[in-house]
Amino acid sequence: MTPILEIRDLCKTYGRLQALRGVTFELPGPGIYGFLGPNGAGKTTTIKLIAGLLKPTAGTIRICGMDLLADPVSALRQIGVMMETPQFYPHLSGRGNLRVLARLSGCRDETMIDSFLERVGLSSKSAERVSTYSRGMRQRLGVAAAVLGQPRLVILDEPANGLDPAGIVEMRDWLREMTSQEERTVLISSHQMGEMERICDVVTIIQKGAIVATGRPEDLVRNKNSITVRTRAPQAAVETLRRVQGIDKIEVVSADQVRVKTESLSSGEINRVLVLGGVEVIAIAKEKESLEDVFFRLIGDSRDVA
Amino acid sequence: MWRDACRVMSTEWLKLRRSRATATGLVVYVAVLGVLYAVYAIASLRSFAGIRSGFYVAGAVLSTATTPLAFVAAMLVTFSIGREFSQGTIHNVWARPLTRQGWLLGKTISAASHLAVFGLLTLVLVIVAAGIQLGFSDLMEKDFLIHTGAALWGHLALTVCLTWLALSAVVVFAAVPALSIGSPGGAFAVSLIAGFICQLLDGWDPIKPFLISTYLSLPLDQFVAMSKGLPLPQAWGTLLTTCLFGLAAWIAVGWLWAWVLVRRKEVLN
Repeated sequence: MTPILEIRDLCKTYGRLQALRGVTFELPGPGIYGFLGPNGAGKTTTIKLIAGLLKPTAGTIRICGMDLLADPVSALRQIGVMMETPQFYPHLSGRGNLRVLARLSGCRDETMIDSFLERVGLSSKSAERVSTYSRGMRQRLGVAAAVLGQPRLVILDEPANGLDPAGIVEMRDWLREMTSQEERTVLISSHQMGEMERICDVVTIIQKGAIVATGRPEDLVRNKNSITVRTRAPQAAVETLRRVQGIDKIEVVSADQVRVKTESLSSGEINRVLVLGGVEVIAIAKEKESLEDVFFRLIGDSRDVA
Repeated sequence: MWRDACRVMSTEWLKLRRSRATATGLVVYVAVLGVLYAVYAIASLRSFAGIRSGFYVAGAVLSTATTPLAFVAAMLVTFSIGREFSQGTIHNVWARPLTRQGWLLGKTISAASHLAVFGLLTLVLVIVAAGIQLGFSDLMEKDFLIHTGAALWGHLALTVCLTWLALSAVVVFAAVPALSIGSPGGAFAVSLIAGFICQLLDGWDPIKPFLISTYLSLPLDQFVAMSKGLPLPQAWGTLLTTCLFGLAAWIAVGWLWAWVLVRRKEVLN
């Protein structure tokens, strides 16, 4: 099956600055893909290259099998892009802006504009000038503008910026609906790790213009070799566990929590030891990295701008 | 490319329709025109009392109006293109499935059409006002027919067409700084400086025939001379040929330059 997006050895230089160094990744089919990286890592440059706003120094970009450089119009027909902080014509209304963009996208059916406005929660404000919109409202309009031409690939750069918590949940639901019911592929660039971990099927991490990891969030996270025990008697738990071999470190982290560092013992074994020692265990769980931990592990300490 | 240009033109119309600046611009322009007309009408009655021809006033006002129209031409296109970059809306536009050449063509044709509205407005107002005040009869002196009214109307139509073509060349050329600089103010300033240099060089005979300012002023100057009953320094055929070939060259060079720029342009910010 032809991948929705296929990027091979993509390079981009600005004078002496090498912004992208042989970026290669692909989005095989419908799903939500995350694109993570620190500031200046090359996320926006990659998105701009996919959107045809920049010319690559080397490498290829194929969208639904179509070469972006050889046939940009056909390739761009398959994608909808929302850049970070989307900009609109301030003197036009939200609906007016979508009408302009729908015409540019070649959409003959302008009736769908109202359904998109309703979907992003802007129906009641659609006749107002965009200059009166808040940042969150512009962001919502930006997402509506990105999906106007019914593209197969939707690229959103920081879509949750400026959205309130309810807006973030609505956006998440809509993105899921887009992939499950409409079979679209969504590529999201964001710094909101928790949100990305919750929503993305696959994440790609970029640093200093090169891809450092790609995979499902659950595959990227590692076990921390720590087990957290919730108990009403943390001191008794510490005393019991001190007699067990294979435990590297025990620490009381709160009034009802003990953290056990071990490479050889499972949570079940720790639980058995505690119960046999007469310690009541409320909960026990093996600690795992969050996506944020993975991110910092992969990008290391060098968080400076590439 | 033409289909893309049509799409861009329809969106430009949507944007213009909703802009207060469109109506304000037309009102300001009509006010300037009214002042110009009054000056020429009074001058015509006093200085050229023997002529008293609506043709002269119409020609003189149109000729002078060409300069503000050249400003309007540069302003329309530099603001239309430059503002897309300065506002950041270009991200939304160039990431859509349309050719950049089609986008540029749509923008320039829209600006030229918008300019034509200004030109048409000028023509209609001047013709109606001059007709009411002085009339458009044959040009006679001491019972001798100098030019017939029909001939003068024909020449007026020709000069208006040629002037509009020359102004279209200004539109195409103003797209070049707009694409290079990506800021409406900066691009307009560069266009003004270029126009000023052209005006300065206009006095230097060896290069005068190659300057756009020549093509802007020549047809209407000829018409004004004719409507004053003066003999024409150039035959109309020669004038037409020079203007058409010169304008074709100007428009082709300007378009080629803008075409190369728009293909290579990257949206960095």
